[in-house]
Amino acid sequence: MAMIATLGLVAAGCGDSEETDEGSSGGDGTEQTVPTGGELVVAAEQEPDCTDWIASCSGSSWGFWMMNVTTLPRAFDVSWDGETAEYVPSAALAGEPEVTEGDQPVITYSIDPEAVWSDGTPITSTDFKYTFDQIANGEDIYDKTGYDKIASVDDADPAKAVVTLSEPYAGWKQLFGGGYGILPAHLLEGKDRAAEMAEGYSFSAGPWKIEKWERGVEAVLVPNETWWGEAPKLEKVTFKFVTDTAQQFTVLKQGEALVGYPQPQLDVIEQLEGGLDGFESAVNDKTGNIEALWLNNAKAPFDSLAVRQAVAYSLDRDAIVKRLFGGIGVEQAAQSLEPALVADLNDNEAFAGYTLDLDKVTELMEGDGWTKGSDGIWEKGGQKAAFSIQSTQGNARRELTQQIMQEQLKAAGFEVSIENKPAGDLFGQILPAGDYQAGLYAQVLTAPEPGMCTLFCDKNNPDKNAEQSGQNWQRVFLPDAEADLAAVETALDPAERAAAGKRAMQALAENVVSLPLDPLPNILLWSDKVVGPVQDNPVMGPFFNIHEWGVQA
Amino acid sequence: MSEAPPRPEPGVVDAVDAVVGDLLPTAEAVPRTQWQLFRRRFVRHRAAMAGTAVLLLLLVACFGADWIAPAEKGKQDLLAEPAGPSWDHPFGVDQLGRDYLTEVLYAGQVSLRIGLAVAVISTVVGSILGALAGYAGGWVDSALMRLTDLFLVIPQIALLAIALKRFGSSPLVITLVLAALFWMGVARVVRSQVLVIKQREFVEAARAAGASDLRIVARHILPNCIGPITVNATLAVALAIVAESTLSFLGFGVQRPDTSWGNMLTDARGFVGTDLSFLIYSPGLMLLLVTLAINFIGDGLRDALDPQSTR
Amino acid sequence: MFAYSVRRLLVSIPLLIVATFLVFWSVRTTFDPTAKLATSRDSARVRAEMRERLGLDDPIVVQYGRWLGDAVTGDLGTSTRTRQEVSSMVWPALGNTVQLIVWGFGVSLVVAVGIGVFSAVRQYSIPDYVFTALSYVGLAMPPFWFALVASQLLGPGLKDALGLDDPVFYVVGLHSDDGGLDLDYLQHLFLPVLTLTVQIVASWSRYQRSTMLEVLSTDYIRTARAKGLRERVVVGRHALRNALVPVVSVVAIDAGLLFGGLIITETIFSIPGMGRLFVEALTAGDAETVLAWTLVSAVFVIVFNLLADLAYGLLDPRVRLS
Repeated sequence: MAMIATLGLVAAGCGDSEETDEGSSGGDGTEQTVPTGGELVVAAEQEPDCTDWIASCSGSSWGFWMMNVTTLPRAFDVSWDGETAEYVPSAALAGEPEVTEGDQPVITYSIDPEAVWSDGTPITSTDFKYTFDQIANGEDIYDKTGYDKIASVDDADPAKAVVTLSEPYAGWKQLFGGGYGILPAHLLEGKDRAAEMAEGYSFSAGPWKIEKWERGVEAVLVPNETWWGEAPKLEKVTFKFVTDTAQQFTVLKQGEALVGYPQPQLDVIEQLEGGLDGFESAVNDKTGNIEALWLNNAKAPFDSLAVRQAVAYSLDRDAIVKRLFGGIGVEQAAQSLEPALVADLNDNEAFAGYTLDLDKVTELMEGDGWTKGSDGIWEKGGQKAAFSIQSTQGNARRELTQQIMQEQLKAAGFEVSIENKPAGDLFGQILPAGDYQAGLYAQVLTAPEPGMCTLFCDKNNPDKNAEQSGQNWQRVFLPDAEADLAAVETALDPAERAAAGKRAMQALAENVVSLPLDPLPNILLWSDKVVGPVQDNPVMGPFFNIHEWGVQA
Repeated sequence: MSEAPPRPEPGVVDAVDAVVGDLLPTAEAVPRTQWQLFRRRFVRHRAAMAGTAVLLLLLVACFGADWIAPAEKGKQDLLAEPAGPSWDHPFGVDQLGRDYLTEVLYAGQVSLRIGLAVAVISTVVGSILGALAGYAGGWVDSALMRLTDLFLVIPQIALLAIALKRFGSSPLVITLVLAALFWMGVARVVRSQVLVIKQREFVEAARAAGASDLRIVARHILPNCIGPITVNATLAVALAIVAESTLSFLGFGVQRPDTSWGNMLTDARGFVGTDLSFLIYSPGLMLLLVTLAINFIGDGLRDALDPQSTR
Repeated sequence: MFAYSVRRLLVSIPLLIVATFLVFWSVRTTFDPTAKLATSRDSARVRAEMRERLGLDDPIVVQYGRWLGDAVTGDLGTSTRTRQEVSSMVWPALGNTVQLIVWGFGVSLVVAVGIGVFSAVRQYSIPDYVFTALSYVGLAMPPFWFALVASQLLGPGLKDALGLDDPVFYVVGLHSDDGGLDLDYLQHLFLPVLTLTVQIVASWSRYQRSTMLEVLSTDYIRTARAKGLRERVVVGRHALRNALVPVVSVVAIDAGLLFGGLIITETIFSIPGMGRLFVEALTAGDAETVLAWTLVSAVFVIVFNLLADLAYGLLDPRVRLS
């Protein structure tokens, strides 16, 4: 399954959670009062391996949504209104932090005086310092990106954390937040943080605290009495781990759980088409995911621009998306290699011009010196226009996608074979080593920070780095766009970032470095008995406001 | 030998004669050959005949898919919505617009090959080794038992998963790996039967008559184990096909573009309770038919081969 | 008998060492514990750190030696996947699986023997054909299929048909309350045990029937009948004991296989047992957990097989254990 990075980009083994665009429930229009009391059971598809959030054993989106968002404080929350994501100072801060710009920006976080941990101790700047220290200098930390740009954290004033960066960093708002949150220094300093946190912990500075986590069975949250915000309405939230996705609907139908958040697999969509009595659903196609046909620009036949463009004109991507997700009303292909979450920082329609046009295919291929053989497949210099599409094993929706593409490409003169590998092999060896021609998988953003340079800058080409590090698995080489790609991650001015992002995405589209397919929509299901502002959030997950939900008897 | 039992059926007397005739070279020639006997008894077993007919039909249909199947293998029609059985498509149309009957037939080739091959290989190897171990006793028996112990102790799922990951999930590898695991069960069962049988009087009699150990095992002991051996073999076919579907469930099964009934069942399992539940029922039905057919055949075989069965 | 058992157990020790080494070697060389981190952004660094920390680049023998040294003192190590102590992962899982096995085997044994004997005694009668057909159906149906269909029908299907507010049979886990041997527990057990029983009964009853048939036609039985004993005594006391011999060996084998074989039942019904634990550990390259698992299931296999061998002797006095 996909393990999600806390910051920035990550390649997903299977589609994971994203945001909702319209979700709302009984709350919409008909303002229902949310009753207090009661318990809610949620069917959880996955379980984290550990809850030591900054360590490498975590990195699970479900874990994050269930037990991190609900119990740990952070600097910024990410709000989602259906179209755009915005950083909003969280309840732990007393307002927007002050930023002193320059070569070494200084950010001053003012902590809300009411913000306390569950034992009554206030949240202080020492917590910020402890968190930074653990991440930057700890062992076995999942992802240090961003924290390696912090020069120092000054906790002289307990109410103000003064963070000095060593260089300008456009994504600074995800520091002390993201998938990590802020850790309590007074409870963990001097102790083995991993031992204290890995198997669940009882401290909290959020609306909930973890009552128990019985591995393989359930995770239970109860209200945190010292939470200084709006108190939870529910008495208890139980996340039951349902290991087989095919059982999820049975679980919901019989009321063993009242909320579900299934991945958009084919059988799920079919179940929804069949109707789920007594349930509401919200589907969101503007997510933090982008599933694409990723092309290895350094390997034949994709080392030729003409071939890449021809493939782009061979596919009817809208038809593919409609086939996959038409049942839940999603019918448009994605037209950008960045997810909708960061639509305002790039050109969201950059690839819209690539539609099915077999004449163009012929024109491009013949122009590049290819001729059609007697079997209808393009040939050049004794080589056929043949390639394999690799993807993750055991994903029916991806197999369907591959087979549809195989048929469409055959009609256009390309011979396509399908090879599926375990996710670990694909992301761990094959892609970094470049042992592939085309890959079908998703990139997932867990914060509204596009990682265009991470993915497409030449300096991140694994062939040019020690230990094959770097995530430019497509070996994209666009020297003219390099500056723009970099600016997206460093420019602090949002307008400048947006402009650079647009230019960069357009360059990527002109060169067809890869082909975007679909946004992996998110599906949130909840029983009629659940009331409140039930909605999804692409970054924070659907349970970010579960303290505002209630259950009718 | 024991006196002839007071039974009406002539068949048993013939069988006894056959055994006796074998041991005592001066006995009269038996009235029928073993083969004719076997064939006659098998043909009289109605269920077995029905099973044979069904099995042959399925084998012909699946392996003749190139000629019989209504549609081209794997041909998709993206515009077609999945639909249930109809005149045009007796088994319906699947998610990719493919004719499901065609899919089922081609998948049958893979499943049947795996099932039959695993059953045959594991039964033959297991029976021979198990009988030898049981009969020989001593260090041979111990060695075999420790070997099977080793393989039983190492989790079978581990062996399967590791072998398949290493060597790929082709039908051939799956067959070999499953056979390698199944033979041990057969060996143990046969061994335990042999332990019982070798104490019987007719074995002593054979030994006294000077028959060699090999002959005793082959002509006298193994045939008396035919019961568990056939049960095992026929169970093995279904178990092998189902094991392959378990492997698919875990992600280690046959990979596309090959598909098997097990694969189809795994893929379709989330559709229980939806309009597309027919996607599960047809491969399931095929599996059921094959299992029933083979097991009835097994019953017939056992009855026909075993000189001591009731009928 | 005692000496025999002790000898058997002693022979098992080198067996365990060989087995665990083979398992360790194959898991380490096939599944990479750092693979899970491949999808993270900082993957090169984190994976390198993990390899360093766990000594994954040391020679296999050295790594195994480390494990063995710890295991002998009772320390089963720490899971690479969850950072928990392996023993604290294995015991709860074992507890869950044992519950399934006890109930599953118990019910299956009774039903299988019953069906097998009945079918043999009333061979070729209508009930025989019916039981035969049913057991074949059980055999032919991949367990996950049966489990899912049964879940549908006996879960929401039954609940709606009876118009109840709460489910009759649950599909997730073993408890919805705080545990204990209560009605809630049985409601949760029903479907998983049914699934297991259907798988097991099918094959056991076939063995039972087949060997019963043979035994019923032996001289031994003929003699008993000729002595004028009642049919029930003939069948129950004489035939059954002999017919149980191969069944016992099948049961013993199944006991060992069962841990892995329970994977499907445990996955479909979300019960965190040994089967699931194993698959999760294996695919995550968590060799420590796989090894602890192997040890536990090995002990089970060895004990069960020993019991089986002893049972042969009890059931059929003609079998001499050398």
